[in-house]
Amino acid sequence: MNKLSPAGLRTACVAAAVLCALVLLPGCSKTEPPQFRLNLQGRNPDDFIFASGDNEETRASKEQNKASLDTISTVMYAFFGEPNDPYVLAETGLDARKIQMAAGPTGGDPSKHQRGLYRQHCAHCHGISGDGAGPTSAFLNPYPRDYRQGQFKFKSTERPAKPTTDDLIRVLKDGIAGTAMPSFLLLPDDEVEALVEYVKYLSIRGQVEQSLTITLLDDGNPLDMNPSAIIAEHVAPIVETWNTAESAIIDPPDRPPIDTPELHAESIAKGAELFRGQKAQCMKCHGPTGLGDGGDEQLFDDWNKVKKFADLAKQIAAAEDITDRAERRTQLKQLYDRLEIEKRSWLLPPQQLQPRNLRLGVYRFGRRPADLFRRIYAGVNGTPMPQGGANASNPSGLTSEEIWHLVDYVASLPYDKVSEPGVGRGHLAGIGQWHE
Amino acid sequence: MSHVSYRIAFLTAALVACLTVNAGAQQWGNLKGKFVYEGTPPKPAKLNITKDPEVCGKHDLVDEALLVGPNGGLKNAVVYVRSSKTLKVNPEYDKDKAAEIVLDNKNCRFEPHVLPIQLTQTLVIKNSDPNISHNSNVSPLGDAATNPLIPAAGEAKHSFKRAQTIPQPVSCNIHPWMKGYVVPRDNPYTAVSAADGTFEIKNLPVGKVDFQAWQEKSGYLDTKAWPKGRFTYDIKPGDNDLGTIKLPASLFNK
Ligand code: HEC
Ligand code: HEC
Repeated sequence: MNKLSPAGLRTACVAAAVLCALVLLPGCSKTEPPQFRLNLQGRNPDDFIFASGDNEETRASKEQNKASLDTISTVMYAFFGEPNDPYVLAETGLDARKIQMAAGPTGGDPSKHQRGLYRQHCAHCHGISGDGAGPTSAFLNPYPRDYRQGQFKFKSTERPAKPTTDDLIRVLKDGIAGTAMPSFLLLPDDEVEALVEYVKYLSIRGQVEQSLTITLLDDGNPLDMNPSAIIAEHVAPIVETWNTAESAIIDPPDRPPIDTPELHAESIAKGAELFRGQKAQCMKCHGPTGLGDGGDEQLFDDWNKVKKFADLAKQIAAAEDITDRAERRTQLKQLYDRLEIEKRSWLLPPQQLQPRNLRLGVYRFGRRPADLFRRIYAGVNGTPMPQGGANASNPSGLTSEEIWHLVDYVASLPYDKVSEPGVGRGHLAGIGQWHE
Repeated sequence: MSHVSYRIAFLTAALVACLTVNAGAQQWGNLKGKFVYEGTPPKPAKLNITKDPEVCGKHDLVDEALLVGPNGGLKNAVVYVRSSKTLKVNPEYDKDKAAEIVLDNKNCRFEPHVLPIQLTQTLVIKNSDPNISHNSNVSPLGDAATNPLIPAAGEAKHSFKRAQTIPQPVSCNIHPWMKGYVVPRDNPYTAVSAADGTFEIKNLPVGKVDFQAWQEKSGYLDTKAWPKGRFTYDIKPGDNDLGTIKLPASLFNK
């Protein structure tokens, strides 16, 4: 029998690109169910809006931009569906049953199946589209994660790798200490798993969209509308990164023994020296005593460093000093115009990133020695905190032994008196906790 | 001449003829030009060396975002071929396909300041500064990010998987004044202008080729002739000269 499968239907839909887009573009339907927001982050909105002053060339370029958006919406709808009616593309390897459970409006559907978990628990922070810009987000520091770049900070895997399923489950169950990300320990396991699957769905969806936007809007290349070509070029490589996460788990090697107070103190002392030394350079950001006050320059993570506000502010300050009045006026006007565009291009203003205050003993992804080892070895992905440990592509990095000393030192800091930085008896206070 | 050797001679001749014809089918040309900044360039600002001054403080480091030579020559402007799916690449470039391309942390700056690289090549980030570690933070759009800590005399490797339309910033967060750019591309046709503003891209396929021009301070070199920094040039066999490309100061008030 040759029944038209959903996939076949979608294929037909992709082929009929323009027609489909007309019917399905957000804002066209009567009842307005929630829609995924197009990712236009960092783009000048004026590039997509016709204005009366447009000359022929600008008009043509805007028309092309809008056509590109139509194409993107069409492909995104065909491949991923919409928030109330997600489509699970077989090639993503995602579990459709779990996605159904997490997607949709809060509450059950008529058949009493659990639905809408994501909107109930996560969307007000992470946004319907997983863009990290839900209604609560603007009030939080750090902002909720925008999953669409496929970058995660807190995981047990090598720096460039995705988190494992267990990592995501752990983030949900433990929450992220020191941030607004709550713990969902009380949810049943199957609901946590459904939510984790949905985070992956939103993340894959976001990365595919990003890939399409780069091709169409930045490179200005046409898209081969054959679905298998789109899957091969824009979906499969992303899915692959999720499939290989398990094989990228960092396995901390055995640590040098610290089973006597003397050995432990010695390790801490070595760690302290490394921390302040010019090989590990920890002090340059975390400060000589680990208070997180070592940097005098603003740091940003990858989600925020692309926003040019700080650059523009610096340039505005410099332009204020121009002595020629007319020149100063023109430059300032140009700069303020650009700042205005920049503000309209982002959902949330930039947020600075503080190197962690290591004296608080609050860690965002675990306090166990193995957790701290991984953190120092791989750094924090998507942030200035570098990959410290040696590996095949950076053989001269910190050795495992050095990392273990740093782990011991960092773990001792919350028990050390700031007034006695360095090696003092304060370090030993931590020993009981260490051997827990 | 025996029958057999006659045949061989004939075949060889045919082969040679055939090769010449093939070589003739695709012709190549070079494109050169010179970027000139129009107006009085601002003096590059001295950088404030706040970290590791005993190593980094002795180099008179300046902000390299806009470097203009004595006759207005603009350094570090980048010219590259835009769309490249059907682009023909001269076999001369084959030997560099898998080359290691070095970005050095040297004298507490990135050397070179702007570095083109092809996706088939490997980026080797070195640290030639004595005693101190650097980190090199790159997060190219839609591609894996990297940020290794590189101790003195060390080197870290990285490969890019996606060609970029815009040069991507590299920074060292330990020494926050350090900034450079990498230009990952899927073809070898990228040139960075020298201190006198000149650049040349060699062995381009003859015919219409789309180019993109960019500079750190201006972004795309967006002029009347080159909207969004894009231009098309009909490459002729041999040398092609764009001449002097004058860039008004207002382009760089950014
Ligand atoms: C009150 C706001 C809030 C709610 C509700 C919330 N989160 Fe978060 N979430 C955050 C913040 C803030 C962060 C970023 C923490 C950081 O960057 O240190 C975060 C980060 C994350 C991360 C990224 C971890 C990483 O490694 O990068 C995941 C995954 C995540 N949240 C999933 C969820 C899921 C699933 C839900 C719903 C079950 C949820 N969050 C509910 C605020 C929230
Ligand atoms: C370039 C600046 C920089 C350097 C160098 C640096 N860090 Fe960090 N570190 C950070 C920032 C920023 C964060 C916070 C990242 C985030 O949560 O987004 C951080 C976070 C941490 C954390 C907290 C992890 C958690 O689970 O909450 C630890 C531990 C840490 N750093 C230890 C170190 C050690 C040890 C070194 C030296 C080997 C070091 N750092 C070097 C900037 C730096």
